[in-house]
Amino acid sequence: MSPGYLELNGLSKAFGHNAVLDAFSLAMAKGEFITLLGPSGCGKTTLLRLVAGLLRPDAGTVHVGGRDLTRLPAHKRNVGIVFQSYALFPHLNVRENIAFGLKAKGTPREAIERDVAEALKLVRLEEYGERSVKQLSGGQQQRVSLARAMVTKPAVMLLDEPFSALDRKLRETMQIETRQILRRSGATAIFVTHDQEEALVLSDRVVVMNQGRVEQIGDPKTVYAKPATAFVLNFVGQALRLHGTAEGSSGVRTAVGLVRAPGAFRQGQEVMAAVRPEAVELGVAGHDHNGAVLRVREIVFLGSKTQVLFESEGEDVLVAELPGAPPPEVRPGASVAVRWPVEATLSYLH
Amino acid sequence: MGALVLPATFYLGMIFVLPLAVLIAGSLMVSGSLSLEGYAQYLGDAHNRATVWATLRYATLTSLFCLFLGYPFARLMARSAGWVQALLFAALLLPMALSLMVRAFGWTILLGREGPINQLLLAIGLVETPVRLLFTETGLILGSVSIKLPLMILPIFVVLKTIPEELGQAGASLGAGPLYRFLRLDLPLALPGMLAGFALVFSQCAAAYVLPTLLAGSRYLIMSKAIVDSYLITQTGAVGSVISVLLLGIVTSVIVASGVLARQRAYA
Repeated sequence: MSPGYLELNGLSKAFGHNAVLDAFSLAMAKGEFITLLGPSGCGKTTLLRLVAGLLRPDAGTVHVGGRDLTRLPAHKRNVGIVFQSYALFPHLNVRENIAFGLKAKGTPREAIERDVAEALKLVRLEEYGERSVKQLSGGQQQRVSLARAMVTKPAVMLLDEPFSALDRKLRETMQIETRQILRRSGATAIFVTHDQEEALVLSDRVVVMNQGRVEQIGDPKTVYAKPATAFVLNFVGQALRLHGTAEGSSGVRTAVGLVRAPGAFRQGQEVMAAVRPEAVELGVAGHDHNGAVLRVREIVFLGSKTQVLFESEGEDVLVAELPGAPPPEVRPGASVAVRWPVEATLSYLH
Repeated sequence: MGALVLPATFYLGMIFVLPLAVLIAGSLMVSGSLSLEGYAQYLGDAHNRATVWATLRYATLTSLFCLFLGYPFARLMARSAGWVQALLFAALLLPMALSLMVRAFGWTILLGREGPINQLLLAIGLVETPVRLLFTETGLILGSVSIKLPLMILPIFVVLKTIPEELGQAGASLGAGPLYRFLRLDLPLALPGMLAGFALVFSQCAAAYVLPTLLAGSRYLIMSKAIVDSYLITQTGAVGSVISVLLLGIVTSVIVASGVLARQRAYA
């Protein structure tokens, strides 16, 4: 995998005085699957539209396979899209929807029939070719939409929150299925979502965006374990968060005591220390561990794990995730000693 | 609850169904017995067939011109937003606030020998002598198109509004250029609105009396005028009822046909 198959350089877009995208750059390898993750309004959908050619950038370039696409209209880019609404053509049946792109490109009839049959098989809708798209369930519509885009063999596939309209169970199935289909065909894909779980499950790399800028680019594990900014920490997964002031190199003075954390801060700086909740365990602090005695406020049993919320002050969030069912001493109102490794402790300027 | 419909049913029965029955019966009664003789006689005359033909031609041409002019306008309206859309709406609807008579007289001035249209044609050198527009079919269609245009634009606009913009974008991303998208996406999807608009304009024109009288003059014969003439001038009510039922038949079949076609293609 050599980066540089898809290259976005300094893409900027403003609507009026509102800069939606600010000098966005990204390089993708062929066959890579990247997720753009961010809250609504962070510019991720705008970015997708710039890549597709549905919008013109104010500045910056789009290259795919060395070819400059920046000035090309959408229909000359060979970039496939799966829309959030699926955007299936309501006057055409499933087969005609999938054949649309091939017909538009003047593909010979036999080739169209062969490719459409193949695409229907790929998304397991062989029996549905003659159905009206309105008779299909949400998941089936999503698959038609995917097949319709894939059948034209696009250089890049763009997926704009394609699972957001599906219920949870179906969403999980479709996520895995879509991932498999894209991987099998070796597609280079950009996937947009505001669902951090979806992003972590699906992608080779995650691009966390906020207010038109990149907060962090990395593989899912790194983004989760080592969030580059406080925004990424907050947006991706949950975290125990303690606000305080830096005490030289020794750590952060917080409401629950001194928390040792890596990071070079100046004495007195406002700092937030944090840790992922599953790194928190019951036990007394020691040489390698930060710790605190906390009063349990609420217990949420989630089956395979238990989430414990502790009493906290101000902006602090005190949360832990314990494996399995809660032990008897952990009950609302009780004080328990918890600890977490110093090396798992994160810190950010506040 | 059902009883509440009775007054309306009675009212419609008295002012609509009963007269219609009398009219149809009148068209089928020839010297005291039931027969289609009246229709055969009317359509057997070349002059009368020309009248029917002129009616069909006037209504069809006006509808087609409205369609060609109305679709781009409807599309622009559907794509615009905010005050631009409000402005387009105003441009479309404000003229409708004026009475038909006033607008028809306005057109007689516009189309006249010394009227603005002729002055413009002379000024830009397109013609050397004033063109005869008033009291011609061309003038009639010009005026009718301008007056009936909203009836075409509104139904198309309503249908276009229900078509998500993403369909066109999806088409483009699949490699379809603007012309292909227009033919394979925009047109078929807008067709129900076009059919509704066509039916509206066609039926309005086929039954129009004021516009043809004012803009095309007394020598231009179409069915609506033939009906009035037969009742008021020649006092041949039987002929008038035959033409009325024929006209009703033509208009009804256009409306029904476009309704059936539109329902088959109502996607949104």
